[in-house]
Amino acid sequence: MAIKILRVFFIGLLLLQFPLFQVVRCQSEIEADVEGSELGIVREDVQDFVGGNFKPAPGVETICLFPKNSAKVVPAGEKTELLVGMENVGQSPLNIIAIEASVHLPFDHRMLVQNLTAQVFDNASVPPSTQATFPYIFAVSKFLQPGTFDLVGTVVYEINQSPYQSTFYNGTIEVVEAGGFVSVESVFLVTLGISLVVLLGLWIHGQFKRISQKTKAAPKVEVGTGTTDASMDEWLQGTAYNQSSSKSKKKK
Amino acid sequence: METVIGNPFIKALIILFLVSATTAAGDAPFIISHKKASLTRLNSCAERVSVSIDIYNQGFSTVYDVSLVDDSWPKDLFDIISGNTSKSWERLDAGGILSHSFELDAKRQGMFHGAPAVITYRVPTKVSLQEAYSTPILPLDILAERPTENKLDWLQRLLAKYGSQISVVSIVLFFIYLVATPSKASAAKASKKKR
Repeated sequence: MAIKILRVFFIGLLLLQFPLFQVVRCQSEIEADVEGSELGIVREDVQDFVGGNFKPAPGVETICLFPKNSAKVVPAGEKTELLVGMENVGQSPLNIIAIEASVHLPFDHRMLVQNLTAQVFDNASVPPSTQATFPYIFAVSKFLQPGTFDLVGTVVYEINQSPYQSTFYNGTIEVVEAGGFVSVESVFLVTLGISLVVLLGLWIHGQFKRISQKTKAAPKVEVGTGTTDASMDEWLQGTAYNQSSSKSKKKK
Repeated sequence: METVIGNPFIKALIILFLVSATTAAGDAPFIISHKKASLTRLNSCAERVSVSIDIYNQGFSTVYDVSLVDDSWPKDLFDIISGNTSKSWERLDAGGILSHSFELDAKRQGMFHGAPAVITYRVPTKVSLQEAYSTPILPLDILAERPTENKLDWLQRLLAKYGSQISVVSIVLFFIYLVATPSKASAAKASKKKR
């Protein structure tokens, strides 16, 4: 009966997983689109600027802030937002072209882990003597193992048709595993822990019982067969002994 | 003795250097403002826009007379339901945060591109009023026609989100049930033995 239930249960589980495979495939495509979403129409000459190496402009200050995330925790595979503050101390307006970032290994900056999707802007400008903030939403690969990594973020902009580039962040981020408290590993671990505790408790209980039985048990008195009533023995039914005893009873 | 005195002082210097390197703003304030807008569909002809604006002072000095003005919501397209599109505060200390939110009702269907909110403030070292812009918002599709979600799609989404957790919890519970309850055959055997 139990085996039947087990079979039905596992077939049910297998059937439950089938639609999941399709959904997982679709999700990765959608994510790529969202990461590359723009705040306006893409400029044609963006590709010339993104990925190039330009120098920072003298009258520009940049700052980076992880909103409500001072520990710079980045869940792997999920969107993280950071804000880029730009201050234009110069005399001419500044046009933001794109914000891009990349993840590197912490101990060797030359080792590139992942190039994050660049966020391009069409109509983003910072007037002179003003500060402006721009958002940058990114997601590291969900297969990236948890740990400390280096994030390098740069903003590409132009002043009077000349391209410039500033690094707004060159520091560490903490990549953590995405997912809530209830996961496959945690449920199994918790159940294993509880069962081990229960087993230990049972063993201790057994030991206590054994020890208490040893001290409590009264010495057994050997009675012997003499006190038993011979007429109660079943095996004597139909034998000569029984017949003679019944005759003597009848006579009485 | 000298190393003991030297080390904490050097550590403090290094920390100060690192902090200043990351902020790169000298002793001036740096205002960062985050504007977020989200849509909530009330019914087929009404949509609520919830706007929240956070202002952070990432600089090293306090700013005074902070005033937030968000005029990017034209009156012919939006009605203010709660809150106000402008607010002012007396001061914002270095490392502090100010928040403001309001709600609007969208009247007309279509794509709306919002402009950033403007924050003005005063600093003791400068005479003129300083200006800062918040983050721009993504284009809002007001009263967009949503494709009717198939029941199957909804079920698939739910499965994808909670499938692994449900299956692992059910496996564990089933295992506990198997271990805890004796099977019918063994129960019959035990009752026979008793007799």
